[in-house]
Amino acid sequence: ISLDKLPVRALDAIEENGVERYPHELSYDEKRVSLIRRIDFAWALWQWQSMVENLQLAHQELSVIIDLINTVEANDAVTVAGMTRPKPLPNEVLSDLAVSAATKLQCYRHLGKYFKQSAKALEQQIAREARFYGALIRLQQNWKVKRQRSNEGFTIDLFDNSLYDSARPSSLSVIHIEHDSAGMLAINLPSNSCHSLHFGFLGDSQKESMSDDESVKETHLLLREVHQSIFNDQVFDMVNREAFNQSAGVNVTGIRENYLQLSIGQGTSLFISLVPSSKPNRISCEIYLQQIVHEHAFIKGKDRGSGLLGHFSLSLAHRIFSNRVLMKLENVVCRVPYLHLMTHPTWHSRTSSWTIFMKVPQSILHVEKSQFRTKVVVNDDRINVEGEGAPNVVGLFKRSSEDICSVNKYDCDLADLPVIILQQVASQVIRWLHEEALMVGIKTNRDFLCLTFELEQGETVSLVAHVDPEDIQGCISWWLVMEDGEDWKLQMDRKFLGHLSLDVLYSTLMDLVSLCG
Amino acid sequence: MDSPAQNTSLQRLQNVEKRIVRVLDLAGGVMDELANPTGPRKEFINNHCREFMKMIKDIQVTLRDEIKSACEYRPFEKCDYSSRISNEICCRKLEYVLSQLEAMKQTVDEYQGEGTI
Repeated sequence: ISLDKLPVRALDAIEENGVERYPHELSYDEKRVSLIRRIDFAWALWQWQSMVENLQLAHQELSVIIDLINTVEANDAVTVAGMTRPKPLPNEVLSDLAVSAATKLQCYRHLGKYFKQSAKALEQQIAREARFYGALIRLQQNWKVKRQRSNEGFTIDLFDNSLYDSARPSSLSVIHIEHDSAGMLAINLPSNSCHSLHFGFLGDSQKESMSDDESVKETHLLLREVHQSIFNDQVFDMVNREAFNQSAGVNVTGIRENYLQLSIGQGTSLFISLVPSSKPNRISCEIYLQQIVHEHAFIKGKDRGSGLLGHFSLSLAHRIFSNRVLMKLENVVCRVPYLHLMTHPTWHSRTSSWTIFMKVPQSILHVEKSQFRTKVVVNDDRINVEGEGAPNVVGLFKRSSEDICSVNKYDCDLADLPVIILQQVASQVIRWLHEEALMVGIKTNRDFLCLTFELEQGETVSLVAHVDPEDIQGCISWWLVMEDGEDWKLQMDRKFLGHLSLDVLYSTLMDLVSLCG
Repeated sequence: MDSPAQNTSLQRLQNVEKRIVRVLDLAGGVMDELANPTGPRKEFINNHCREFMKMIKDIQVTLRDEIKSACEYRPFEKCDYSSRISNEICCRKLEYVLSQLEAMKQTVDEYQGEGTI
């Protein structure tokens, strides 16, 4: 609740007709003056009066002096002869001295304060600048720091003028060095200005413009592929888990990345593998691209011929191709237990090289060479196979393996590669068996994939190799063929021996030898 | 004087700055002492002034040395931007190889961990 003051005023008079007369209201100043008038100044009046009289006297004297000065100034005839200062009284002297001394002390104090404040401020500024310049000097060890004449600022120049001429300096080449709020060195980059190189493989995308419908179908296709791929991964995972849980009847006989080999029941062998899209790893391609651009741009004098991108795409093509070659080799090697695959680094981006080793069991007569090599070299997309033969008997006694090996060398297609390799290996096995037979004094006839023993009465028994890269039980299998050749009547008996290990082959050979002997 | 730890040019120059601060401080101290109402102490003033003069001399000597040796600096003589890129590429290669080795190790561990062949 607020109450307004009642506007009650004392009446002065009221007339007959009812009109009210109020006393005249004083303004603020009038009120003040009336209050002042009520103060009694009588006690001060006496001192006031004497001061007024003194001032009046002083005023008179000053007027006289001023008149005199004006007259002297105006009147050339009259000059000042001399002026003496009235001799100061002792107390005046002392007070002058005291004043000047006090003033000097005050000046000293001010100076002292000024110096100390300056020292403090300078100390703080030095500390701030020490951080800034310390940072700048460290940066200067690695980067080109330039000073700007215009505003005494600094910049970092990232442009390298040793790049080839077609390179333009990007807008990022000049970085401005700034101070942050604490005075420390800071650089500000506009967001999204830094790029890193990303490299990836596109699907077989349509180059021509697609209608909405086509685009949707394309996307749908991709999604289906991914969906399918996810499901395949899950299937593979499930098989892995079940297999290693040692459920009844299933044994894991081989394992590699994304590849699982199992044996089930009585000697049935199978494998499951997740086949990648045979594209090389994208990170390594990124790195390689960066490297070859750098080598070309920064280290001049390299002659690239087909240009950087040409070289890069050839390297990439080679990489993709050699991955496929490797897959084929692996498929072959993992199905033949006595073969081993070794990869050789070539340090060349368009060449790849592998060696397939076949180790044979040691025979009674110690032979120096106990393994045969088949070398596979891929240049760009040309495959070359180089297969080692077995040593001949003469070379055996020479005990030097250098010049006694015959080498088969030939180019081949990717499609034919598995068969070629298997044939090479099988022929090496035949050669080895042939040598072993000779070692025990039995003469055999060697054909490409066939070793023939002569029995009495013109009968022959042959050990025949059969190669089949698609054979999941083992790519090299063996047949025993018995021929009664005299009558030219092709009486042939064939017995399938199966996928024999080299030890079993050797003992089979010895059995045949004893047959002949 | 310079201690053995201050062996870079920047550190020596920063030391000069610190000495200037000290010199200002000394001057302030002398003024304060002169403003002493009971009169300045002679020993105090002498010590401060002696130190002041010594510091000024140190500053002069250091600055002269630094100015002389500063002439030998030639900026951007050996720009290493190119080899820097080489190194970055090498680093990436190493990272990549490490990741491959890591993956191989994982495979080996899983293989051994499962206790199969």
